[in-house]
Amino acid sequence: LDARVDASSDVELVGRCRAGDAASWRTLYSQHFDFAWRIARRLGTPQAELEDVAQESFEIAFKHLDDFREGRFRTWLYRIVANVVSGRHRTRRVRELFFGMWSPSSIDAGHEARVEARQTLELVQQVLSRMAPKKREVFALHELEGLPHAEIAELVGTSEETVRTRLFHARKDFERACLKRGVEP
Amino acid sequence: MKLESVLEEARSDAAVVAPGAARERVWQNLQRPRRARPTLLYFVASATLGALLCLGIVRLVQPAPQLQLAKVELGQATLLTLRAPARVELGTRRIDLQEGTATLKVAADGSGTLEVQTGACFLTDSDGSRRPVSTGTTRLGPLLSEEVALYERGWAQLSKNPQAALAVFDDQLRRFPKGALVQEARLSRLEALVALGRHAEAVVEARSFLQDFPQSERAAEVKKVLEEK
Repeated sequence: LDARVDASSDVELVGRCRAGDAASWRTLYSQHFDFAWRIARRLGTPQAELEDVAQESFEIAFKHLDDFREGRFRTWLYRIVANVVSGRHRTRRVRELFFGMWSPSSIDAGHEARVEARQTLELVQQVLSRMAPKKREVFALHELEGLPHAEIAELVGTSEETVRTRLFHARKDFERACLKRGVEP
Repeated sequence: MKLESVLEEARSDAAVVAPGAARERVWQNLQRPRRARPTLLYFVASATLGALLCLGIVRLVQPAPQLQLAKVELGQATLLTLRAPARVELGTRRIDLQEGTATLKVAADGSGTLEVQTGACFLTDSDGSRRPVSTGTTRLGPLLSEEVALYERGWAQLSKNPQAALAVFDDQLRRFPKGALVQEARLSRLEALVALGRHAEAVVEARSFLQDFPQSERAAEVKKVLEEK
């Protein structure tokens, strides 16, 4: 019931935005900014890029607001944020591939002593950025954000069963990548 | 560091909470007019512009080919091989080869052929008209006939309208300064000056004629005019 109420209020709010109501734009932004930020971070965006990702996501959302017809705005916005983050991970991987030819990776395997609080987060970001996008999102949303399978299924637009399967494989990938970087099982 | 503690630390990541200042900054940025994002078209346009600029710089750096200038004297056969840029003055005709190569064969009377192998060529005729010459062979008519026609026109005017005749002879001498009928034109001009009563100019003209053509068969006539004066 709550989801239906949310959805109908989202549609109304977006309708007012389309009609040119400036206050509604601000309301829509304020209601969803924290969510966009949080998702961007959970999906492995480095802290320094969070503002850019948030801005880019809202730019896309506002530009294509006419495409939002029904459902929850949050779910729709999630897809945009996830796509922006995936794009940035892809770009970063290519960049690292090029620069990696001349300089070694900043986090080397077998240096447990250096893995402290900040480095742990960087390690998680690195591992997430190298995971397949579909596995990354279910892993981040479940293991880090703590969302239940049903909610993840709604956000990513698939069935709960698929979420469970993806999560299983994502955990394996995450473990393997962490072990390669010197983390103990 | 154990795997579970890595996850634990990631879960308690403080950066998932957006700072208030960031929220305001992003909102302010969203209000600003957006810069156009680079598109494929943008890159294609930039690459084209860059290539054109490079081409322009290369052309600027390259020294411009020097214009070949040739003046063909009438009265002798001439063969010229032209390479652009080239200009040939052939009597009152002018040939401008702007691109490519051409061969010019001229007979003593100014007639001949212009063979344009490649490129762009223009012919400015005696009447001042300019036309492009197509690739291949173009025939050029004799120039003497024009000089003769001019002289005959002046001669026909001489008895009736010496002023008009003088203008025609002046025109002929300007257009054919080394033509076959220069002596005739100068003598007829002298006659026109006498007929107009411009004796001082006639004397100057006569002396000038004797100086230019001392061996002329007509020199005796000229001396006679001077003596009469």
